[in-house]
Amino acid sequence: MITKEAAFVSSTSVAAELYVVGGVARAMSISVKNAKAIANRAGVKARGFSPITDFIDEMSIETMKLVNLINKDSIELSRIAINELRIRDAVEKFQKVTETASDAKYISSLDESVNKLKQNQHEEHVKLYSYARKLKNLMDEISKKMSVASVIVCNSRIEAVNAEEYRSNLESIANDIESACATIRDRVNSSEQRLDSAIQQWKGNSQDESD
Amino acid sequence: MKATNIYDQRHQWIVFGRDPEKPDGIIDTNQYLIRVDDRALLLDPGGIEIFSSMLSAVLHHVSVDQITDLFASHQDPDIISSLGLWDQALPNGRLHAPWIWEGFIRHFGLNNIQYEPIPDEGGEIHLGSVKLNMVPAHYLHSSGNFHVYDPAAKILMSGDVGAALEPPGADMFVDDFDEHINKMKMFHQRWMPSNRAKNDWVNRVRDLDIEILAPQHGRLFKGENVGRFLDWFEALEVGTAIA
Repeated sequence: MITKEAAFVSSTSVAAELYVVGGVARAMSISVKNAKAIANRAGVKARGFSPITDFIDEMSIETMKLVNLINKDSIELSRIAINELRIRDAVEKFQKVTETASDAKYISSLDESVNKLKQNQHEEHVKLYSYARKLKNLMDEISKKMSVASVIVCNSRIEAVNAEEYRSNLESIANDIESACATIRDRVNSSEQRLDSAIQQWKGNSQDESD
Repeated sequence: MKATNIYDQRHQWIVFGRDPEKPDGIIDTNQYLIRVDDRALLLDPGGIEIFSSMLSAVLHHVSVDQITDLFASHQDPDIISSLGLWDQALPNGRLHAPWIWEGFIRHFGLNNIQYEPIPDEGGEIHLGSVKLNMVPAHYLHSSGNFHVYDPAAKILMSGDVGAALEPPGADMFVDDFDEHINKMKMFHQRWMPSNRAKNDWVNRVRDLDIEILAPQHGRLFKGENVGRFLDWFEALEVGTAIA
C-alpha cells in the first residue's frame, strides 16, 4: 500500500504506471496474432483455438484504447492536482497573513482574494473527484477484461492439448498471454492503490478546509 | 518584517526587509513600496518564502486593491518567485519586467496580472502624479535588468548594484562606507559579469540627482555615500570568476 507519496505525485504516477500497460497490451496483441497464425497452420487440429485468439485480440485492442483514455485523464488529473496544491499553498499563506497581520489597517482588503481562492479550491476538488472516479471506472473495466482473459487462456490451454505438434508453441503463447494479463492486473492494482491514496489525501485536505 | 519609511513627502517610499521569520539559508532581501495617493507600486516584491511576511507588512500601509503595479528588475527567484501568490492577491495588477524574461517569469505563475514588458532602452511608469524612470542596467547582473529612478524623491532603486551580504538585523543605512566595502566587494566582483556594462551604468547614473541609492540586499546609501559608492564601483574589476 502506497501511503507516503504526495497526492499530486500519486496522480502523476498513475499515468506513468499505465503507460506500461499500453505496451504490454500491444505485446499481448502481437502474441495473439502469432497464435492465430499457428492455429491457421494447424488447421483442424487447432480448430477451437481461433475464436479464442480472436476474442483475446479484440480485448487487447480495447485495453489499449482504455489505456489511451486513462493516460489523457490521468494527465489532466495530475494537472488539476498540482493546481490544487498551488491554490492550497496560497490559501495557507493568505491565512497566515490574516493571523499575523490581524491588526493591520488594510487586512480586510484581503478578504475578497481569500474567498475567491477558497472558491477556486473547492472547484478544483470537485474536478479532482470527478476525474478520479472516471479513472477508477476505466481501471475497473481493464481489471474485468483481464479476469475474463485469464479464463479464456485456461480454455486455450485445453484447446492446445489437441493441437499435437503445435501444442508446445500454442502453450508457450498461452503462457505469454497469461503473464501479460498478470502484469496488467498488477499495474492496474498498483495504480488503483496510488489513486486511492491520493483520494484519501484530498479528502483529508477538504476536511481541513471545512474545519 | 521591518518597514522603514525612507521618503515621506507628497508620496512615500517604504523599504521592507530584515525579516526575522525568514527561513535560514535564503538571502535577505529589501522590498520597496512606493505609495502615491491611492495607488502603490511594489519593487522587487521578493521570493515565495517571504511572501506571507511581506504581505502582512504591506497591509499596514496599503490595501491589496491599491497595489496596482509590480516591478521586477530581473528574473531571479529572490526578486519575483512570489509572483504566483501576488497573482492570486492582486487580480487587476500589472507587472513591469524586462521583455526578455517574459517567457521565463511566467513560469512563476501568471494568470491574472498583466505582464508589461520593458523594452531594452527602458521606459516610464506613471503612478498617479508621479513619473518613475526605468533605467537600463543590463548585465548588472542579469542580461535583461532595470533599475527605478524617482526624480522627485531622488531615489534610485538599484537592484543588485550596491548589494551587500550581511548578518541578520543589519542597519538600514550604510554609516561607515570603508567598513562596508568588505561586505559588498565579493558580491560585485562575482555577480557582475561585465566591466563595460558597469562603467556604462556608472556614467549614466552620475547624470542623475541621487539622494538615496537603494539596493535589493543589504544597506542603503545616502548622501555622500552615493558618490563614494559610484567611485568605488567604477574602480572595481568585476567578472572575476574567469581564471
